[in-house]
Amino acid sequence: MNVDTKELENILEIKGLSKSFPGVKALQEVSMNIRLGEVHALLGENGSGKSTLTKCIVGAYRKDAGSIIYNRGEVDFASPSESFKNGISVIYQERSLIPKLTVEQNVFLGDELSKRGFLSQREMRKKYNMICENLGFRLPPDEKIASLGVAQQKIVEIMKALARESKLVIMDEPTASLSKQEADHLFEIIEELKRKGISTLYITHILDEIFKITDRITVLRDGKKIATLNTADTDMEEVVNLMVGEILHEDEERESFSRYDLPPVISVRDVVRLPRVRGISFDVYAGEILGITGLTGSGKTELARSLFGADRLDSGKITIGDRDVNYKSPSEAIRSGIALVPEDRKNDGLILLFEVFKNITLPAIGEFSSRPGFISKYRELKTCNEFRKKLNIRLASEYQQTKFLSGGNQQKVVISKWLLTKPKVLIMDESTQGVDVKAKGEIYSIVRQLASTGVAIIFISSEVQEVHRVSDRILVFRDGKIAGEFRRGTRQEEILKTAIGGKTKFMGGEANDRLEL
Amino acid sequence: MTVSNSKSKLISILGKYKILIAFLVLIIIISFITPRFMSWQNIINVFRQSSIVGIMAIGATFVIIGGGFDISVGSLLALTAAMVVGFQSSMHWFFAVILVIGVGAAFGAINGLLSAKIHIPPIIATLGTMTIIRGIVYMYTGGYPLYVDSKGFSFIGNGYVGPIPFPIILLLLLVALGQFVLVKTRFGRYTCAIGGNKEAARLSGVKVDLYMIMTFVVGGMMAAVSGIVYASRLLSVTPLAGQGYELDAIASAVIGGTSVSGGEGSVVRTLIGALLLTMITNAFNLMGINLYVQYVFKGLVILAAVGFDSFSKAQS
Repeated sequence: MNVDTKELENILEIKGLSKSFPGVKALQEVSMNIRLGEVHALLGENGSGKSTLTKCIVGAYRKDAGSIIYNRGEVDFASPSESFKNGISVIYQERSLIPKLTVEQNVFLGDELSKRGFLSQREMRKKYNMICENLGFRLPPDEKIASLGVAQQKIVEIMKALARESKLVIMDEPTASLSKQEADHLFEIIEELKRKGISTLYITHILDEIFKITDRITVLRDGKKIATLNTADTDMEEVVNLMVGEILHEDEERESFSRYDLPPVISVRDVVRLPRVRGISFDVYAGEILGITGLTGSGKTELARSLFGADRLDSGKITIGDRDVNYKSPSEAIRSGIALVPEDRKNDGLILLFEVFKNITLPAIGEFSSRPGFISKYRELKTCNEFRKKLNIRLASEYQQTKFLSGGNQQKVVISKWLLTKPKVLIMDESTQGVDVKAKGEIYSIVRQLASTGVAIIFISSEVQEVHRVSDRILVFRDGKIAGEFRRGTRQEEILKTAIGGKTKFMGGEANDRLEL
Repeated sequence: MTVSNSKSKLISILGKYKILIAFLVLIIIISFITPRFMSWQNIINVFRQSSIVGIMAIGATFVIIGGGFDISVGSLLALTAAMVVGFQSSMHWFFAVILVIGVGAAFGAINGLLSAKIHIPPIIATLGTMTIIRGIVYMYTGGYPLYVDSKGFSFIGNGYVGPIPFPIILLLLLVALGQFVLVKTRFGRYTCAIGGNKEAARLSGVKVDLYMIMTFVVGGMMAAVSGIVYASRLLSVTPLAGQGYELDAIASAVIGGTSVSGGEGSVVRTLIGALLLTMITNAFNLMGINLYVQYVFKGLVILAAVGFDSFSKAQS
């Protein structure tokens, strides 16, 4: 192989890239390259290291080791704005345009053309028209972003990249909220970029897109690169297997604590909360661990929030014990014995600037009163220390600010605070996200221990593997409905296939089935 | 890890006590320059001058910790002061005082409802009520000063307990009460929780709207108490009373380390903030420095206090 030409045709080359966070090796010696004018897919399950990798490339994170060669020179960008100036654009999942400015103002934002210190409208309009011509697509330049659809906004972001003469465009789940037609349109534009020699790193969970538009596929798992394949030489089966990895079929034998002989603790009937939850019914029994999995956007989190009273139901019925409930607020749900470990620990689960003990006692502060309304700090600290021992929370002191704890310890704080309310139903939404392996194991055993005391647990996760490992029974959500129900011991592949819509339906590429993993 | 930990610890200790340190340094400097500063009479003066704004600042502390902001309390001081004087023509001063505290609570509740339920940003909601309340003051007084002559009522602003003026005792009592409520009660804990992270507080079962409204009620009641002290001290009220007091109250709270983004603060440190502001005026007067310079200096102190807080937060 001729090294020189190889280097010439790569716009980006990554060698031995590693990045660790406290307790987690997010990337381990990842090497890959992206060729000029190539559409390259980056694939992997949640937590496999995709977003860490892109963040290292653009300089949002500093890498621990390894090198990045971009446009033939070694680079070490200090910030995303620096890499942007050098021609690497990122199109994020969440929108990053300014809604109140026009299309043209957004396209040139931060890089306005000017003459003698004044904005040169004419020059910008000229360049804008040129970009449109290049794309073969025209958006009205004076339209406000706020009045555009999601797909058009994605296009504006691409135009922004073109205005900077980007050589590499990184797209993170760009079709996540697009309809099928809109997605097809986006694909045409990616083709157009390709013809111009602009490379695209395409991150997605939707496999049929990958087979439609990419040249090569790189699969990450647990922070390691597993393989780079030519798209033409592989198929979905192989890619799914690479993503999931070696599946251990030995089921750890364990007791089930489910009391199917008793009436269910909570019954959910035809619950609707548009747009994401579209008619869900199930029961959970005392001591049962009900796993719920499904792609992101399949309605898992929205269901959890509705059960907890954080969002109102549009319709449907929830029964706890023999009482129909209709919560207007979480405080009502908590009073009748529901607890939620929310998906977004930092924003929804904790008050980060609070000392640890204050977070733990917050929902049940009434129990720390010597007289109504007054708080006994002595009792608070005592309880905090009990949980610290019981759940093995590593703290410098009870007074430590919660924001200084690692992800796993923070999550244990969230779990502690709910244990204090002695819930009948504990909902755990993506409770092991951003948590290191050891703490994950500890969280699983806490869940099991709770089930053994008769708590009904709803364990929600988009990682099929852990749902498979923890649950007594598994529901698979797809597009706001239950797509399948599985007993413990079902093969993981079967669950995963149900989640992504099954092979035949999946390849059909129906708009409704196009969801991320 | 340990190094950065101990460093962040040092910074947080410095941050926590910076107000006390600045306070002590200033006292030492000023007492060197003007020996009269440390005289008993002058110390009493500084405290007494701080009492009206200081009481108002206790309320401001609760509101700001809860994530709100209330700029209507200056107008509310004028209204409650005018009313406590006006009401005395038809009732005993004691009932007038009780009634007027109710008026403060009611306007606080209105501010809270506008912020929590209608979702008007607090600073704008209270900008509206500030203007409305000032209008009511003019309507109530007809634009003229009101006078009162009651020995009992006069005690609140002019009386002494032993050698100490009553307003100072009232201030210290309310500071102690405020600090106790903030640290030791459920209401205080919830106030910090809501200001720290409203959504997390809500998902922990805190009735965030109710408790946010309650912080404004406390703010309104404290404004009323300061209005009562004001009226009693002067035994008269002009419709212009209390203008700009809300800014001094907010300044006291933030100089005292109350986080402008909510969630953190202490009533005791707010008191020190209020004393610091008064001391600057007092010392400058003793030194014969003109009023205009005082404004500039006060402004700089506010910027320095908040700047330290905001900048160190942005760094982490």
